[in-house]
Amino acid sequence: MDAADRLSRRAFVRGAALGTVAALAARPWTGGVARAGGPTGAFPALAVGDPVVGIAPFGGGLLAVGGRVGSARAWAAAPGAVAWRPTAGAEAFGVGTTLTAVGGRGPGAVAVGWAETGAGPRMAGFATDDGRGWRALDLPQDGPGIACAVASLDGQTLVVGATFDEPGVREPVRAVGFASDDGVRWRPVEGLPPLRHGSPTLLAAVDAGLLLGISGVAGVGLYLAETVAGPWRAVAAPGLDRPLALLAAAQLGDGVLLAGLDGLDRARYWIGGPEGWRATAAPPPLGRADRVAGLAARRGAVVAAGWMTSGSFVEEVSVR
Amino acid sequence: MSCSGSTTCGMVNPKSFDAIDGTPIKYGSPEDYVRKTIKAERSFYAKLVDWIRTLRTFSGTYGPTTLRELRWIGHVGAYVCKDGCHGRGRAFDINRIQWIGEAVDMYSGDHASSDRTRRRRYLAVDACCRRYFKYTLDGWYNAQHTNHIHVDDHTVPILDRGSVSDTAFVQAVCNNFNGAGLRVDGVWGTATQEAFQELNRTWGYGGCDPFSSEVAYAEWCNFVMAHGFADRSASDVGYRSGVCWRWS
Repeated sequence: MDAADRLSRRAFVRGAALGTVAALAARPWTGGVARAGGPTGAFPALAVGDPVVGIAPFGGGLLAVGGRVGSARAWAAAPGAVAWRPTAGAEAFGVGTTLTAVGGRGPGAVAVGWAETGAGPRMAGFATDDGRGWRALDLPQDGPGIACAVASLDGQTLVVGATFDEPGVREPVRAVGFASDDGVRWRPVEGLPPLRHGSPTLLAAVDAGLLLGISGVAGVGLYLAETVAGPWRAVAAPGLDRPLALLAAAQLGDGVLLAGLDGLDRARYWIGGPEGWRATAAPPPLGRADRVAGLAARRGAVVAAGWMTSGSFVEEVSVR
Repeated sequence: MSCSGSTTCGMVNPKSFDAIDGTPIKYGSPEDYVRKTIKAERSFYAKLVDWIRTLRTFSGTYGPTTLRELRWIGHVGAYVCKDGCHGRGRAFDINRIQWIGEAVDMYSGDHASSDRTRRRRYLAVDACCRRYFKYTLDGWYNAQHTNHIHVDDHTVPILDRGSVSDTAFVQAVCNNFNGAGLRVDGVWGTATQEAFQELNRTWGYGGCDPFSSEVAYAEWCNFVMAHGFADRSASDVGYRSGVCWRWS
């Protein structure tokens, strides 16, 4: 393992697969040791008592975001670091802000989510250059809604979200998108696929362009655009005979790793591309209880962020 | 009870099931319904049990013989990892209620049927959902719900004039049971208020506040269910409430 890529390690045993672990942000949600097996002692633990919902390349290292509802947090791992460090808490994003995703933008990053207001949730976004200072984005608002995902392509950043018909009813009715080339001025993007009772759950930059996943109980849709402005075209989505949510994707050489959860809350993985997918097993060291919320390709490695029964994790995965 | 209490999806105490209180549930759409196991939060499943028992009682008591035996429920899923109640396993999308002889077919848009009987039965099922689930989103709510009824337990089931979902439902009830002739737009204005009062005078609901009391709203929903399954107008004798009753 490249020492420069060693960000931190799990505080528990994953058997032989531990040799692939490069990054970790795991601690039980309520304290104690995260998983059976206990700390190996060989890997420094990073105490993260909050959910991690996204991860992105960041200044040569990685940036993860998460936290609890109304209390957002961010962690960063610089190149060569042996552990993650918390870089921002609720005070940086404002109390009442919840983060749902993060995407790299140049040397910095953009995190998105929602801010709870008296009139219901409103889309929220923040940009950072150092992980510590976060600048609120001026996203145009169209009533209650949340920002769900963010990704950058060719120097432009796209935020996608969903709006609701009324503040208390969190059933998405419209997909909305905002694009920016400087991270300051955001313009609405037209032509996003209709939601049809789903919600945007995935936006990732891959070699072919931007991959957008819209997931709902009635089905899942996968769309591809070569620019942030679209046009979006429907591409083959993994087939499953029950509800499915697509949550994360990352480019791996010639293929794309796609992660999701089915209607029985089981993690599912596929390798392929817009032309087709084949199901694959959980990439080691991920296990059946791990649910991936974000993937980031970094120096030839793929790092997954997500949650499990008793905590959250960020770690490198091996894809065969 | 809020569904927005976590940044990740998932369930705290999930339950797998392919029937609700013994009634099979089938995933899909007409010509393609398949019995499948699904997952939901256990406490939400318990509410589905209460719901289906009430549905059986009212359809069996007030409906014709063709509604006496509930056979299966058609649906398009419960848990899916996305924002909102579906992502917490606390929502269920119903698209068909199949009795031994008849069905309420949300998938085919019974709420907009030219047959008033079908509309009334749709409203009866709708009302049964609203007794237990807020939010209930039906065919009048928006285009996404013209082929199913969404139920979740995000908040306490009481009537809310500020809710588009609640108001559109009340407007549809006033139109279909009392000939109110309201525009179903989800906005609670003077005409809706007057039609609501007139409806309640006509079928004898009174002395209760469905805007603040769960029990009072449940009783109001009982009126809708009884009249709906019986296919009777508000002026016909339909349901007698022991709690919210106004002799006229």
